[in-house]
Amino acid sequence: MTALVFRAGPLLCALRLEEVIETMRPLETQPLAGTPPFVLGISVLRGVPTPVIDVGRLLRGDQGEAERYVAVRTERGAVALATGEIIGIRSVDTTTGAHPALLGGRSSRLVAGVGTVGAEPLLLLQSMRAVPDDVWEAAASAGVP
Amino acid sequence: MMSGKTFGYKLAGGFGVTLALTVLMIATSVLALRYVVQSKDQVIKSTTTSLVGAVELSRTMERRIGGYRAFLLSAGDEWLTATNADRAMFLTQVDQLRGTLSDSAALKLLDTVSQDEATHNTIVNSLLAKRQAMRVPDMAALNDPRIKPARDAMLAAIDALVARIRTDVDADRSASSTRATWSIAAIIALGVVLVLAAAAVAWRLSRDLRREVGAAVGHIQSSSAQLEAAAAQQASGGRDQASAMNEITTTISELLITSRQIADSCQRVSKVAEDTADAARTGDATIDQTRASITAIRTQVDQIVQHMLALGEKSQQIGGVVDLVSELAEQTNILAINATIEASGAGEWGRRFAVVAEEIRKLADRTAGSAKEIRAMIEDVRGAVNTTVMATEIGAKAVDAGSRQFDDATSSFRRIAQLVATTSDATREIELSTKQQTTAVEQVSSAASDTARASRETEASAVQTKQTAAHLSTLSGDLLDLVGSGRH
Repeated sequence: MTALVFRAGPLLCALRLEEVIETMRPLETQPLAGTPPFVLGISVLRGVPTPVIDVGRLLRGDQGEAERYVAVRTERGAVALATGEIIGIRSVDTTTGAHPALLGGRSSRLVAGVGTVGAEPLLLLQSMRAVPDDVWEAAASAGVP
Repeated sequence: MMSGKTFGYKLAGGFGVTLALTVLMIATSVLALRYVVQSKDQVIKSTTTSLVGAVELSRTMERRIGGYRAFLLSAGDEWLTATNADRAMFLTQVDQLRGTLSDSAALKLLDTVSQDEATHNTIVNSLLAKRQAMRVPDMAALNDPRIKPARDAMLAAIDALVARIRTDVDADRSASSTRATWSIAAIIALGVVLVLAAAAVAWRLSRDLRREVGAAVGHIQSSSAQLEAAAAQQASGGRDQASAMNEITTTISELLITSRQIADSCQRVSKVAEDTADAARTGDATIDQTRASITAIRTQVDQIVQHMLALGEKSQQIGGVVDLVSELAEQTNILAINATIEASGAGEWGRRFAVVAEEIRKLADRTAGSAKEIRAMIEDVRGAVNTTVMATEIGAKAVDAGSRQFDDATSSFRRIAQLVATTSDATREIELSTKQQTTAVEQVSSAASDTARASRETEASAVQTKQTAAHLSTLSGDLLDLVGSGRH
């Protein structure tokens, strides 16, 4: 499986290429009230207001410096993930539904599998599940699509 | 009259009075003696001329009588000549006697003698003529009765004249003796007056001598005692002065040694100052060279700063280029990733394109890495340039400060050289002054030695003065005893 590998803080994360639209430099982002802390706000990608999710805060709870925005496809539209360094396109071998201790809870909606790159663990994310509904609602209330 | 006069004046006055009286007495005595001598001369003269002349008249007449008697007997011509010569002598003696006589009675008696002699001569001449006419003497014819009375009268007149003259001589002798007696009395009187005056003068002088000289001698005695005390003090002071002068001489000798040492030190200091001045003059060239070197260093430092600033600007320009390259690499990386993502959904062609895109991404990564390294290097270079510029500016400031300090040091050095020259001059003046001072100190030392010797001589003189004052005091006491005032 080919995936886009990037860092979210110290963590190595990956997204299926099918879910990835494009990568870009971080854009101007307007914060949104009433959203979870891992939602940085909303930014305009190619003329479309798009919610921006901080992957590091989403996974670890701490906020890091965003180096890239990765636009992914979701069921309700494109979402920008604020990530660290883009490692590149890698062929990733993960086991779906791996150890329940790693995939349980809310995260189980986000992490589709766990693999390794070298000696580091690799989290395969599910982008369509990364944005909760209240975020979409907040984005909708902000007046953009 | 004599009060207020000095004792010497009084003594001279007393001796003058005594001398005047003595001169008066001598003059009076001389006059009296001369008067007596004249009287006695008169007596002797009258005795020797008048009385002897009168007696000689008698003797001449006796010889004439004998002569003509012999002629009458022998009729010898020698007798006639002799009797005529005797008669001429008689007449001559009469004339001489008349010149010596002053008594009128005696002159009358002499006239009588002349008359009687003339009478007698007439008779004698007649008899002589008769005898010449006779060849044989005729005594009867020659016996003239007139002759005898005439001869007797003449002889009586002569005797009367002699007696009268002897009476006059006795009277003159008596008068002369009387005058001599009066003269002796006058001299005795004057002598008595002289003795009385001398006694008065002696009494007055003795009284004044006791009164004035005694007081003066008393003063002399007290003054001698004071002089003795003063001489004792002077002797003590002379000993102290001699001791002090010896100490002064010793101190001056030490001062002389010190002055010579100072002069030697000044000479050495002058030599050192001259050497220092020579070294300072030699150092002027070194100073100029050092100033030129500092100026060259300053210029080089300025050029280094300029070059470093230019290097910084170039580094910034390179940094701009590197930023552009890094930007391009980042954009390329993003584009390559996006291209890969796009290619992944494009089938077989897409996979090939993905391979190319991946290679492009790798190149972009390498370019970005290189750009990052270049950026790091440029940052290092800029930091080094900044550090170098700062260091160089610090160095330039240090060079400026050093230049100012060197200017200060140069001015100080030149001032030191001037001061050294001044010091050299001052040292020479000090050396000269010290030599003059040494000469002066030697003169002072000699003078101090002379003063010390003079002090010792003064001490000896003071001791001698003390002894003399003591002796003078004793003599004053003796003199007081002599003048009868007694010891004080």
